[in-house]
Amino acid sequence: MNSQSLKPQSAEPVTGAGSVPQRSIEPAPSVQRDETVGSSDSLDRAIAASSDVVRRDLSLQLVDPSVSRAKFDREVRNYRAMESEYLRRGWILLQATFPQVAVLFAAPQIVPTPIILGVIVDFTNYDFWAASVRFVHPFTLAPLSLGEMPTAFWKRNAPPLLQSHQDQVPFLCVRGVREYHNHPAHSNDPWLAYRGTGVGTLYQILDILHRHGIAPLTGFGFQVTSMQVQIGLGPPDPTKVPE
Amino acid sequence: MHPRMVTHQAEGLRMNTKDTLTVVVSGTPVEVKANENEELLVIIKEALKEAKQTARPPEDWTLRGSADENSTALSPKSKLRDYGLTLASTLWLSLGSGGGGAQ
Repeated sequence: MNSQSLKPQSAEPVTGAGSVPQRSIEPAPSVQRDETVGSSDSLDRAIAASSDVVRRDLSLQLVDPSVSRAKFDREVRNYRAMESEYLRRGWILLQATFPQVAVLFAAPQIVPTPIILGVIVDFTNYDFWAASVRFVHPFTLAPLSLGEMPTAFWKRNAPPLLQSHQDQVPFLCVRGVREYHNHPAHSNDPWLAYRGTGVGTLYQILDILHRHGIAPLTGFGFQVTSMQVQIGLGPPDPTKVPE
Repeated sequence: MHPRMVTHQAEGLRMNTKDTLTVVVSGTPVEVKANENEELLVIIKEALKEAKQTARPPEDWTLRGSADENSTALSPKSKLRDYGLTLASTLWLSLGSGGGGAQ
């Protein structure tokens, strides 16, 4: 069993999270940062530092922040209403502070249960803009490069949902996600055609991540090379990869 | 009688008289009036209307008896009782994932 098979075929050599520029850009003054869930300045800082690109967008606040904030609160409220079910699936809502939600994904079908990755979903200018999805390390919240991704978000009879640009920053190539609609290849598939249709909600994004990236995982695998044993996640169960 | 038993009986009575069903529409839980003998398509339409998700037709949505990814999609022409579900169950309506280069 080869744990390397989990890496996307197009993966370049691992560049490490440190290759992603870490700049400190403060949000626009008009953006009200108000904690909805949890209270941890250090966690706030970790999340903010992990999403440099997202925070750069904050300087482009186009929508009245109170509107985005109300829609953000609705998304978090809906999540909280069904949270016990989501926890059973291995979703752990780490923090929800406008405009970002940090969620960790565990794979409870595997024992002992690994925490696979974290995501930060950003609702800046939501829902005039689609929500942005960034993949982060589950404990440091540092952005993951394509080579560091533990799962490819497989789709049956189709390319994986995980794609990247030349900068090796992975993104979820799915309708309802900002990175998909901002991609030049999808200029004919604008977000505004899907806004308010059930696409791109917090639940729908997390559900896609779970179904395509976490649920197909079945266990650990190991690889023996040059007298070294490497343990990682095993290959996905093809029958559990959604269409 | 122990007070807890009274509480449990009251809960049981409430469940038996429940005439609404919880449907989670793309993450939004809504309550819809339903009975166990009507077609699921009726419930789907009601849930979409309640969740104000009428931009896409019912055929675009998949109904499941649980959020579990392994649960089978429920046929809109079936009834709740065909799957052993009751009004105490929670149904999940979800959209597929477009993208990945194959839409």
